[in-house]
Amino acid sequence: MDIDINSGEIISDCLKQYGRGKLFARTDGLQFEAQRAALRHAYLEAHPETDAQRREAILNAAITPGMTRDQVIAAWGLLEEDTRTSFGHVTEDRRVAFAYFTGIEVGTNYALYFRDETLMGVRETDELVPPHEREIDMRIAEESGTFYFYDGNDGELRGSNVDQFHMDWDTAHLHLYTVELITRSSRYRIETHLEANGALGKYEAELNRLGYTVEKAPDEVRFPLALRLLPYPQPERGAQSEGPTVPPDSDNWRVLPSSD
Amino acid sequence: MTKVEFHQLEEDILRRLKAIDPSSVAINQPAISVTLDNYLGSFGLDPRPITWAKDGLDAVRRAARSNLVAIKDQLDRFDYAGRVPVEREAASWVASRETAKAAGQGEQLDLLKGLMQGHSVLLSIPWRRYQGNLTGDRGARTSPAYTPTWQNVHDASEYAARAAAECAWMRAGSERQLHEGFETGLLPFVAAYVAGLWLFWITDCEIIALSRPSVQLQAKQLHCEDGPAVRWPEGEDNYFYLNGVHVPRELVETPARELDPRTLLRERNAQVRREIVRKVGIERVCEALEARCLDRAGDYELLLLDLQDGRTRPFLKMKNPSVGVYHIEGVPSECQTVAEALAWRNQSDLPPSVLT
Repeated sequence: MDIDINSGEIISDCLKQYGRGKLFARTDGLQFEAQRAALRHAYLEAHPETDAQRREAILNAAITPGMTRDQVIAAWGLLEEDTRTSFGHVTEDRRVAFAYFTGIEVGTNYALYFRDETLMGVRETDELVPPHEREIDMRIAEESGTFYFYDGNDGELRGSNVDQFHMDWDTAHLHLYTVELITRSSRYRIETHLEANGALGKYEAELNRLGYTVEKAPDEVRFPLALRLLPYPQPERGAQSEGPTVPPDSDNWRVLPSSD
Repeated sequence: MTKVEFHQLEEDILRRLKAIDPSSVAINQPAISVTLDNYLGSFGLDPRPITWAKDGLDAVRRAARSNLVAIKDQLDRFDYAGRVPVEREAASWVASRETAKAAGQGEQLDLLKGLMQGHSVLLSIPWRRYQGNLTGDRGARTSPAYTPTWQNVHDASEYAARAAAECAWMRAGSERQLHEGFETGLLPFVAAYVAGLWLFWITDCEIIALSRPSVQLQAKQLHCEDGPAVRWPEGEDNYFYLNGVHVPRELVETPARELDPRTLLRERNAQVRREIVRKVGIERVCEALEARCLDRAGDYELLLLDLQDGRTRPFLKMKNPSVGVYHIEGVPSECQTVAEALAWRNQSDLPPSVLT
């Protein structure tokens, strides 16, 4: 069966604006925990222009279509650890990104639809976008500054420190980037990273709770658990991209000055 | 058949394709059903029910979720571009196919097919790594044209055009052998296309069919000033075009007087910007963006436009002689004269004789 994802389908779903006018509150009991509430208040302090209705929604740990992604993060009080297993598909049309994400742990399972940074729709669903089968290897590779990954026709995964689809002219033509083969992480390598991040104890305890020993746990249990416990490397990368990978005399280069 | 008969058949095919009214679609389902049953039979497949998709997106969704039967590898071997069978490289075959395509609006439908295929999708992106249109790849990315959905699509307009091309091939030489699937796999699709069939997918239990859309044309270009230029009567998946350029719905449906000229500043596609200027009018654009002329040379003007965010930037205003409309293009802040702007634009010191 063809399981390909069609960009038209993602865009069409985004434009349907599921849940428009409704509030979707976090309900897992953690929404008013001190650090999450602090996140909420910090956002509102930094954005006094937030209108009253939206401010109230944020204070009530609820999101609604029309919010920005930052408002969603603030409202639900999303810490890094809440989103480690949230994945989505992203496409673009006329340089506008359309995306949907599932797997954010807030009590109910939702799919969140975005147009660029704006939340377009919220839909309750049990569907989950699975991570790439090599996600654990990518997360570990990110610790050494490799943030962009590409499946090769040879079945291998390669990583680069520069986005191969969005790089400036000099970077592209002077080869100011690295591309390396991403190796499969052994159990020991994963555990070394967990230990370095102070998560090895939790990892062992969780495996034991599931009825496995560290030595005997199968990969299908070990990897998702490690993904849940391994934080994303900090600091997050900034927008490294400066423009399309095209020469200055091509049509695509002649864009209007960006608004930033 | 003799060469004369092939010539007459080719002429007949072209006549029937030209007679199609692109703006209205009346589907003759029984006729199409017979064609498809015979087509399946020629590959040793049993007939199966036809499910008509309500629009392009619906068809693609259904096909993507079905077990598609791959029979295209039993058809012709094509060149690397997938357009010309390797044993039909003759100019007569190619020219006749293109003529037939144009006669039946197949060129516009090919453009539409490209839009239906959509853009690539970055798969399994972590929430933490989402950065809008600067989001980086996370391993897997779809390549729409190479997905099973589009590898196994059957195109009635293409088969009809190839039927005409086969006739041209046969009459242009001697001792040539007619395509063995001509009677069942090519010629019947002329009637099927005229009867309203465009694309179809063969699955293990049904045929997913998509009718020709209703298409609005002006000077052979997709164009409609007050609604979708491409639509299916029962569907919601519409496509908006102005002068052959695929544009956002708002640009078509918003009356010119209500369009904000500043939309221009947010649009990165040069052709769409041209259509915005054409619809809004260059005078309103200059007025809304408080244009100040820095330099003028012939049909060119270097304007300083207010970007409405506290900045002003130079833009080159020029007239496109091929379509007779004005076009505005951002140039670097350092440009102070038309000559400098042209030099930057063309990477040379010479002004272009013709702007395209």
